[in-house]
Amino acid sequence: MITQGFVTAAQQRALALGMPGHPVIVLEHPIASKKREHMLQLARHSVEAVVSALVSSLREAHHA
Amino acid sequence: MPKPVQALVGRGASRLQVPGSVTDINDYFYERGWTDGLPIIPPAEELVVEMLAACALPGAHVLGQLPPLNGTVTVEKVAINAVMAGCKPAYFPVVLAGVRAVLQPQFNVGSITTTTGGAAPGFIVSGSIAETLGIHGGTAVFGSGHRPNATIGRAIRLTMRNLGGATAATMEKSTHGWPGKYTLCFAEYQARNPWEPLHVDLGYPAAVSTVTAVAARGIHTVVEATQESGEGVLQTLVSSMTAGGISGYAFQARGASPVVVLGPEHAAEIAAAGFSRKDVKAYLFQHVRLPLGQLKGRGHWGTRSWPEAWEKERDDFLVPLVLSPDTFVLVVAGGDGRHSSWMPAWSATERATEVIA
Repeated sequence: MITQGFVTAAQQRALALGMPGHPVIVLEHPIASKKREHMLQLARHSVEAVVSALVSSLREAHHA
Repeated sequence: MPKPVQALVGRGASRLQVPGSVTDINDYFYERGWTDGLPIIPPAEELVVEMLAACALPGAHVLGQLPPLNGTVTVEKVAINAVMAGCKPAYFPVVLAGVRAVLQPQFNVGSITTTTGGAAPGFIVSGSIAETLGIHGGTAVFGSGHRPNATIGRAIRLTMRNLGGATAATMEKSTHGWPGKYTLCFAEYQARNPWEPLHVDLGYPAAVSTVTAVAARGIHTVVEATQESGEGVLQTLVSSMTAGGISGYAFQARGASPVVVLGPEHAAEIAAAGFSRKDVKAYLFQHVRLPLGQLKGRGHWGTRSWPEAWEKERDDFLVPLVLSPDTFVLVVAGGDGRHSSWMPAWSATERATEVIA
């Protein structure tokens, strides 16, 4: 999971680790100044995307 | 005696034939993102071989992998960047020691590149090699005009750029950054240091020379031109180090080292007042503190990383900038004048020291 400002960095890092196309969940930037309640809400809203990314990665790995 | 070209094979770098003038070559390198924006010395093979001849290691020797993009760091590739930066071959052992320091895991170089916090790696040289090579520690110590300072720091930064991916197009995320990101290398001014050298303070034998890498967010200058008591200087320094917006007050558990650079006049007065090096660090530890209530709801409060016990403290509890006196790096450098300075540490790093072989 990454905020908008770090999308390119995440993609480059995945490439460097030999995992091009590694799923990335993008959150609104910034989060550093957000309150705990806001972060919990963000986490709740992201669960589906995270599960989907994990499952699709597993599926791809299984088919590879 | 230069080493044979065969020494470069193995994990060797690519060979390029770039036709045209030095200007054309510079354009070629710049357009590919291989420079910091300043002109480079084209790394012709014979210059790289000369650089390699200044160390005992073969060019193919692997020093490690440099995050965040994990490029393989060979001695040859560091030598190429040292040529590009304008280093003399004699500087190369310092460059290599600096790269080794950067590669120490606790230095966390990948995050130093990718943070928004503007961390620049700074390299402090201590020991007799500073005088041998002319690494400057005197007047205008952070200013321009000193080839070893300018090129050693630049060589390590170019290595981080070209092997670690420290470029604004990819991994570099500093909101501002600062000119220390071009180069930041200086020596302790031993001739005017009233105490033992930095490397002895860090636990190394007096006979060796070392380079210590720190991650600095900038330089705060501190003028004290009225007080002459030694302690008066320290009081003014403390007031500078207890201002608002210093990120370290939320990340003590990470162990990052702020650097305090005492000008020689200030250092002499502090020593004359009876302070040893250890006493100065103890004084700073005791006084560089802010009331907990003043930190609440500000800065990195929401992501603070400090001892759990402090969570139960009252608002008047004085929160120290660091968890132990020895976390401070204390250096004597600079010229005449009533000035000292300090460098706030970027937070998720610990300093790294290497002996210069």
